[in-house]
Amino acid sequence: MNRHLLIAAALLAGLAACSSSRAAKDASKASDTSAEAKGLQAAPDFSLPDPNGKVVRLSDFKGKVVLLDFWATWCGPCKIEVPWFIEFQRKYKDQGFTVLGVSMDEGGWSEVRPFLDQMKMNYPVLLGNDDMTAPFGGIEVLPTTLIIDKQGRIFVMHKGLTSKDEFENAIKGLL
Amino acid sequence: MRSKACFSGVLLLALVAPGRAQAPHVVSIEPAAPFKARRGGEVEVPLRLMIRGGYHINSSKPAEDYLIPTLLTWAEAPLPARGITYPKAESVKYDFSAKPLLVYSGTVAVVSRFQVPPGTAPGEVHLAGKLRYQACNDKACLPPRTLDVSVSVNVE
Repeated sequence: MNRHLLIAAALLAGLAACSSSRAAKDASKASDTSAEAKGLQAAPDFSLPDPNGKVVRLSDFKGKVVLLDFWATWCGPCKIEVPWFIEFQRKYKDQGFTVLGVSMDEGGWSEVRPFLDQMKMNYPVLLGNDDMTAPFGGIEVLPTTLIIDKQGRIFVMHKGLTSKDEFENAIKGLL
Repeated sequence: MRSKACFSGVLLLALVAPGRAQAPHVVSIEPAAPFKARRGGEVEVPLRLMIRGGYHINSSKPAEDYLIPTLLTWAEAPLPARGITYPKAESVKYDFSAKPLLVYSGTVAVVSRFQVPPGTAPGEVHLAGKLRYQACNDKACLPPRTLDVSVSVNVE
């Protein structure tokens, strides 16, 4: 009995330690393919507004390969990836693929819209919030990018700046 | 005019508890030594910001418009802030930026200057401030965070 209690206490302590340091570890990795992603779990559905106020759901894209990008206008590494995603959208949108951007800017569309125009973003961008990120385990670092297969399952999750080739190879493999 | 005599204080710095689904703070504030100042004069309060290794925060005047600056603000009462001096920023080139960025890393000091009105009653006064910052490393960024800063000062 005592032994079981000790094991439980050790596990709890371990979990607490992992939880408190997780974000720092995540942010320090260039590209983290999560264990959850390898398990091909279903991507949590969400509904968010686009710049015109239309509510868009992730499940609207079921049947397509989706590159889901959590980003923000104040995030330098995110800005490196956006032009790649614009290119992917142009190259693969007719093959059952879409990029879906979720901006985590607190200031709303007044901050985001000028960036969309400036970058000539050619894929849907929605305005995110903390509530919708919770089912994803909380998006603690940006960029965080998921590639979701045609069945709506998370194929891979990258935390932090990732190479263009890594994204593109995954997309091509799923199409 | 500026005087630190006859004014002793104790700084107590409190960090806001992290909110739901928020990354832990990468900045902490080290309490400074007690200060002395004269009523009717001014007192300087340096805050030492300790930034976790591998991370930087944007300077108070970032090199790019899109970056969120580090900003320390204080409540007007009981002692009005008369100026805030931020540290000299480092110019660092990251892979994700076309040009070098102006950032703080390691341990840096932000110095606030407060007026001590002549009519200030002896005893303890509390100064409340907020430090807003946004941190990144060379591959990823954390959302902007705000630390509550509480300074307790005993006026003799």
